[in-house]
Amino acid sequence: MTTPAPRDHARGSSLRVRELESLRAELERRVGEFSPPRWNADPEDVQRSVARLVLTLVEFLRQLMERQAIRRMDAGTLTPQETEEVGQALMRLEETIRDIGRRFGLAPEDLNLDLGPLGRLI
Amino acid sequence: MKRPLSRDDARAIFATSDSSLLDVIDNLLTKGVVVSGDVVLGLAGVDLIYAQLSVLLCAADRLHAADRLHAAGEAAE
Amino acid sequence: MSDVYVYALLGDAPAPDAGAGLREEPLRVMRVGDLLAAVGEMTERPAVSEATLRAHDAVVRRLADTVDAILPVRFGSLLTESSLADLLRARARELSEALALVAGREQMTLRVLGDGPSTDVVASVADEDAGPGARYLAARRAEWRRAREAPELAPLRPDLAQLVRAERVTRHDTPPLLASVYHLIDRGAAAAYRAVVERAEAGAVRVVATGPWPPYAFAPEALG
Repeated sequence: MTTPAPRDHARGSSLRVRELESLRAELERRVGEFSPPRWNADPEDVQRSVARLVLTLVEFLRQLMERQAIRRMDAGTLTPQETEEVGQALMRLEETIRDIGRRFGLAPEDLNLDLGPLGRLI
Repeated sequence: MKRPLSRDDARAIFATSDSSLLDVIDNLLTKGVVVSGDVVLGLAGVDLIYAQLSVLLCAADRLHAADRLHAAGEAAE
Repeated sequence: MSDVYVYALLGDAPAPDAGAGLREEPLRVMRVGDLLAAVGEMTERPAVSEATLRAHDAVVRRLADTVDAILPVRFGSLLTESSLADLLRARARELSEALALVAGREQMTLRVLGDGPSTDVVASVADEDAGPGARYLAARRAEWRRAREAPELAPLRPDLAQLVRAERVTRHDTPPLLASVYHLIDRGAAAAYRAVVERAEAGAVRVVATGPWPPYAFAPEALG
């Protein structure tokens, strides 16, 4: 591989200032903590910390299941009735997570876990 | 165990306008094969559980394989 | 036994040897089944800094020059040798397939830049008499697909088609940064690829290419 050193991308168009800033902000958002992450319940609001952890894990599992359901829908290994029932279950699960989250003052964006090198969970 | 770098030290790399460094950050910190991920769970500032997620990653993969076998089995019936 | 810091998975052993790592530590090649891992011994994770990131990248590039197939590993991957062996055994098939895909190839990164969301909305397709559950699932499928597509590249597709062996998309949708697209090309095709991108008129969007890079973006997904 005749790779030029990273600094030698002089030829061709390059990112403008606003675009660079946009990329910088996106990367900062996506990259998780660098040291092994800790989840430590906030002593002032243990209930909310626990709710956040639990809902995040459930939302993560919901997305895993949703992806698998879609794969099976595409592969034709779900009957029309199964498709309807799984779809309704996922729909209700999403509503439930949102409702419980609201009770603890948690917005959908709050449901995430920083897993260090793995990045953010969702 | 050495105390990990403070947040500010490590995140200083994001304060760059060097687009080639941003590409390196993108490749090295958001891409590439993930082989480790550990979480420390605790309460009241006390670390209690050290969970190695690399074990969980394997489990997810095995589950998918089992699910695929099951689906294939059903399709064959 | 100290932990090992993993730089990359390899399809064949580097010749004459694996050289040195980012801390000048001697690298060795661990074999687990059909997979090879280039590792260095370390007692603690290297701190994240411009220097360590560039040094890690330099190690991966050097390894890439000596082997045909390489899957770069994420920065900071420190674990016990036995955990690594377990993981490589459990994911052997998926990782071998990924190595086969990237053999003899490298990555170009495209940033897709523009003002607003794409006007192409992926239609959600469901039967007319489908119930709410089926329609929900169809809509979710459309959403998953949309997140992995770069319709903005349509004008470039005809010229890119003969060069691109595989594609990965990360959508950002934060104007001016709309998406990052990673293309796998044959080694040596970077100049031809750049030529296509630079002469292309992509209409409302700008496209900026960097590379070639070792194929960081073509590792199999970590979770799920």
